[in-house]
Amino acid sequence: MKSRYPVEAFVLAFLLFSGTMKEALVSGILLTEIFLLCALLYRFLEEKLPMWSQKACILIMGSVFYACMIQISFWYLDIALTGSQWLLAAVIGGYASFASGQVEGKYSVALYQSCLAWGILLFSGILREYLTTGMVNGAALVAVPAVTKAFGNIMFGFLTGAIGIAALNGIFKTEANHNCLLPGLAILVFCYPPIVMPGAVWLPGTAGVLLTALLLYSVRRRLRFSNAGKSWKGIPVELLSVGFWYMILKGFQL
Amino acid sequence: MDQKEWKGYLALAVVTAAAFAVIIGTRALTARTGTQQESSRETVEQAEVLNVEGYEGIRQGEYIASENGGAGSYRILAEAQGYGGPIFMEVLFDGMGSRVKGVSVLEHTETEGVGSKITETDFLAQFNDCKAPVTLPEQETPLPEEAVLQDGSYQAAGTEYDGYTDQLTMTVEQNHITGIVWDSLDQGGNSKRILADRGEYVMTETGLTWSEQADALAAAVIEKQSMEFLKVNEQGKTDAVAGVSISIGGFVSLVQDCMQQAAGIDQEALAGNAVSQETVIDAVTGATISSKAVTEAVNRAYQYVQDVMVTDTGKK
Repeated sequence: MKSRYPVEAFVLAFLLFSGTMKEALVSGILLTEIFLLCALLYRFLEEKLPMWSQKACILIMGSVFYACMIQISFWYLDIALTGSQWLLAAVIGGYASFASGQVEGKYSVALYQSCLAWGILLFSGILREYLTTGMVNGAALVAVPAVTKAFGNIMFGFLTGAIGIAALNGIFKTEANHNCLLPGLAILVFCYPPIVMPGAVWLPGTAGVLLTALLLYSVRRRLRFSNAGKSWKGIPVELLSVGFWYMILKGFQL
Repeated sequence: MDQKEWKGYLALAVVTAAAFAVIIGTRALTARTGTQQESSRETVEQAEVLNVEGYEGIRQGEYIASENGGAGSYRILAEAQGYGGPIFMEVLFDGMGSRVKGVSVLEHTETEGVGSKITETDFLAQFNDCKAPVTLPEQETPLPEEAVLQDGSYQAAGTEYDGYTDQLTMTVEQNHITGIVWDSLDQGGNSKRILADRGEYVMTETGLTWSEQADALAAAVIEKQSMEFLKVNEQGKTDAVAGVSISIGGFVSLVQDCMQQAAGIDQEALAGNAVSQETVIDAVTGATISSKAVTEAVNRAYQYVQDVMVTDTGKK
């Protein structure tokens, strides 16, 4: 089966919004909505505008609309939204609009796949919030001894993202080999560098971007002839790789 | 518009409705939490900040008035020196400042798995609704500065621990400590000193024997004529005397016992008088210093509240 949901957008949503249940709930449903809206708009503008104009319109609309919807929804729900998160929300919207072209009229499949991705995103949000605070949306559940704020950090988003996408690949029998995740990941690493240097704020982010690009390239080259499981090929393995180096570098932050 | 387009618009309508439902529903479900937050914000706005200048270990003090005009409560941020650094705590008192309503540890740098257990519910729950001041069991009452040691020979014995019972003999001549002999007997009455000298009680191949370490400790106390230099860590050991790596908790306790005998101080009477007015808190096992820091912070907060109440009769 072909992927008819915005894989890269959901990857960034896993990284950014799977820290708490509320964020995962809202970002996932809005992402699904934007994706379907862009898919319909893509069909609507298909024969009315040149290809480049059509794609540009949908890209701008998807980015701006998703970022604004996230801002309004988060404000309504009293969830803090930083500038970096807002910028990355626009990137997520851009990815969703970019992927809307692959729906090709199969809206039911697109809805089904997007909703399942949202469900796994929501599950990740619940799990991470529970492991971070011992509570889910303020409700205390069964006491767990291994509660730590580290699970709320973005580095665990890489792990949950990798597992989530691998699970979706397994369910949909697809592979996420060819992807354009690098720009989004680069922006994310620039906004959330593993090491913060107060004296040169831009330096770790810039170094992180270069390192991410290098790592992704080397991972793709190395795994080209590897025997990794079908579900894990492509984005899941790349996410794991980036996640591990992020975690390693984070350990040097004193 | 073909069937596919209709499906697309229908899917979009369904998802849009679901999105609104999710967002509005989430806000409605968390509305109760928001109300509680608002009411707690209102409570904070009614808090009166108190002056803490001149009070050691007190960072912040607030009197929180009751909404219905009844007795309010005190919220004190106190600190005390723990094993790894300062421990910051929040202590809540009732309106009369005599009962501790609750204690929470805000910040600490204690050893993970040892001193960090002061944040556990089991330990902190002991402070809920207890009478202040608080103390730990078997806390030694310090020797008064003006105490004079009377000449003589004094003995003290500890309780059995790990198969051995500590014994100590202290000699005082011309009001000075001139001799300390610390020994430990096993259940068969065998002396650890003798066993160590015979090579039958070996701790390390290269270090001092047990008896040599005991003598080094005794020599240090005789030289300093006090116990203040002997800082005991959470494992019951000290870095104050070179070459001594044994646990010295028993030694410290028995020397203090003998010193109080020599000073003519009835330790039990003193302890009894103090404890009867204090709530005894069980320390965290293996984290005596951290536990002591917590009780010290609570007692500082208690003393501060008492002083505040005396100077501000309007709140009494």
